[in-house]
Amino acid sequence: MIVDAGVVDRTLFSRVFDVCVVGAGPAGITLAESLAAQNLDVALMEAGDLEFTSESQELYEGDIVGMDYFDLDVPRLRFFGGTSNHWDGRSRSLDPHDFRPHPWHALSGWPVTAAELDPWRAKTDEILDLPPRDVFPDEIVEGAEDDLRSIRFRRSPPTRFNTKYRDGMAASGRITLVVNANLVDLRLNEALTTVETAVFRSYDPDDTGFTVRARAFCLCMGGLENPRFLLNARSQMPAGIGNAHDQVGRYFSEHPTYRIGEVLFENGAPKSRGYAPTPEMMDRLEVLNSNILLLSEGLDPGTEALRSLACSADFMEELARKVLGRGFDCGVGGLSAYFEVRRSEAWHHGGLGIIIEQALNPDSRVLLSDRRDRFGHQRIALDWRLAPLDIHTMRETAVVMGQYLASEGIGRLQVADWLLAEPARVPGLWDEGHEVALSHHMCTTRMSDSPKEGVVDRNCRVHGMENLYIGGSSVFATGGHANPTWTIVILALRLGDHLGRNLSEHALKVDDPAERLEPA
Amino acid sequence: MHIYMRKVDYIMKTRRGFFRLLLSGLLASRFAPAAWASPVPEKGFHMVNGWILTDSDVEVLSRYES
Ligand SMILES: Cc1cc2nc3c(=O)[nH]c(=O)nc-3n(C[C@H](O)[C@H](O)[C@H](O)COP(=O)(O)OP(=O)(O)OC[C@H]3O[C@@H](n4cnc5c(N)ncnc54)[C@H](O)[C@@H]3O)c2cc1C
Repeated sequence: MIVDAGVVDRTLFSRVFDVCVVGAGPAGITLAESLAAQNLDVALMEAGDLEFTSESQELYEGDIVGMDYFDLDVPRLRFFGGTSNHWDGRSRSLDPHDFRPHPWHALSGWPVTAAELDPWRAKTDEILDLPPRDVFPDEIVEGAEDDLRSIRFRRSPPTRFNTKYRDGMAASGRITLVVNANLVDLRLNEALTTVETAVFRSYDPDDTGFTVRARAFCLCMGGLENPRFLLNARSQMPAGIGNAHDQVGRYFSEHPTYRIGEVLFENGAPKSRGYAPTPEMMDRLEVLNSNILLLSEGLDPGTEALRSLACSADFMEELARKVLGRGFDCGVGGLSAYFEVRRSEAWHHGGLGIIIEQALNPDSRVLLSDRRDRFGHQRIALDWRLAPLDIHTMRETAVVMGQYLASEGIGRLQVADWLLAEPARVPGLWDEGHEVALSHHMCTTRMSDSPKEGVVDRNCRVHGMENLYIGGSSVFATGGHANPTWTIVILALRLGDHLGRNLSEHALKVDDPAERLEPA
Repeated sequence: MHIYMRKVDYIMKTRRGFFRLLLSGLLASRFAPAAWASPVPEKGFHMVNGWILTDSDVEVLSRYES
């Protein structure tokens, strides 16, 4: 059933739910559906309404104190369905080698392997409405067999979790979806090891709040909001919940996305293509994973015909002109002048883009601002930073691509000035041609075996807490280069089964029709 | 549409924050990290003015230079 926290009769919350899931984006909805399918009673608490509202979205505003970044109420949405209400659907699993530790990348490696996620692959594809996996296998790249693979992404339609799951939730006897319910606190037992209740408030200024009791609690509020909440939750723990080792909010990772070079194609423009480094190349050059994009940008056939009329310079002449800055005469007068002006477009050209895995950097982090929201919580101060390993990765990867393009006679690459500068002059959001970031917020409550290197354990349980779990990309141990939602969903399914197993005894006990909720 | 423009578009649709967004973009500090090491092409390749060239490219281009 679906109820509104602002108007619902709150005696509804006198019961004890099996699991209280906070946040109804891809992570929270997947988890709630998985638990309900195992006959568990779920309170799914969503801060926003069923549609966009300004009063909810406003709570996402924050400050940028590090590198240039989007205003924080832009790259995420705060209503039922979460940011899936405007995601693009680009989907790919992390690579098996993303889960392994790499000696040159401090703290890297996941407590789980890629193979451990296998049981939930098919279900993840089904949830995201993806075509079969083997439609786009990675391919060996002729001429760069040791270094590169050609890769493609699968496309979700994109699945909107709001429209896909709304009716099912309304009819569900297992899931109580409560909208306009903002998590404002978690109350712990005396030993500070167990969450007893979660405290919520609606948008009514006179609302003093209400509590939800459950056997287990799971925060699925997104990669920025999960750490923000934990850092703000200081009513019983002065450093915030789960933050005994000052790990909450650290290692904030994005997918830095830049144009790192210009390409002059030798024999016509090839199709745009995506590449990734092989594990062997990553080991040899000590670089992070990346998605390398060879972008083909010219010429259309008409312009090409005009060009060949106007300028008979061959490829090596054009290259000499570019590399050495020397000019050549180009035949017919008027057209020649035209192409002198538009010279850079008068040859098959393109660019090299890159989306990199970001190095784990404890100083790249979600901090708290002095500004507070309507519930008295401090807003985010985002300090996003790159590390030397990120720059090294882009430089080395550019050189490998340049060698490959030249040796195969595809074209020649000029590595971007900003990247070769010492220190590198990293582009900002308003520098043309650079995406800079992709609205992926990862690693801020990262998974680790040791509580000194992260916030949750291999089962997504907060270190030191018995019944508090986290879902979403904040638990990623490293970010890889792939877009995060596929991995968010598979981890939510895995967590659902873990909780299902752990709570099953209780589930049997409450599987009594008299106790079961009736759909609205 | 370019992904970032779509975000701007989204803000404009919700009629909020656009000029603040513009301002924060223009004023935000940039972090220029230190370098790891300058990349050196493998044997058989050269970097000239940022261009990655083969031995034979360099040989041909040297003729243009003289
Ligand atoms: C423009 C854009 C394009 C994207 N494209 C892609 C793509 O192509 N591929 C890809 O993999 N990813 C993409 N993403 C990222 C993707 O949208 C996110 O990875 C995904 O939505 C995260 O899921 P989530 O459930 O962890 O968090 P969210 O979707 O952010 O959901 C969090 C939920 O928690 C709720 N919440 C927040 N605070 C509270 C609170 N205090 N109390 C209760 N509830 C709360 C929110 O209202 C929201 O519903 C894109 C993102 C953007 C912005």
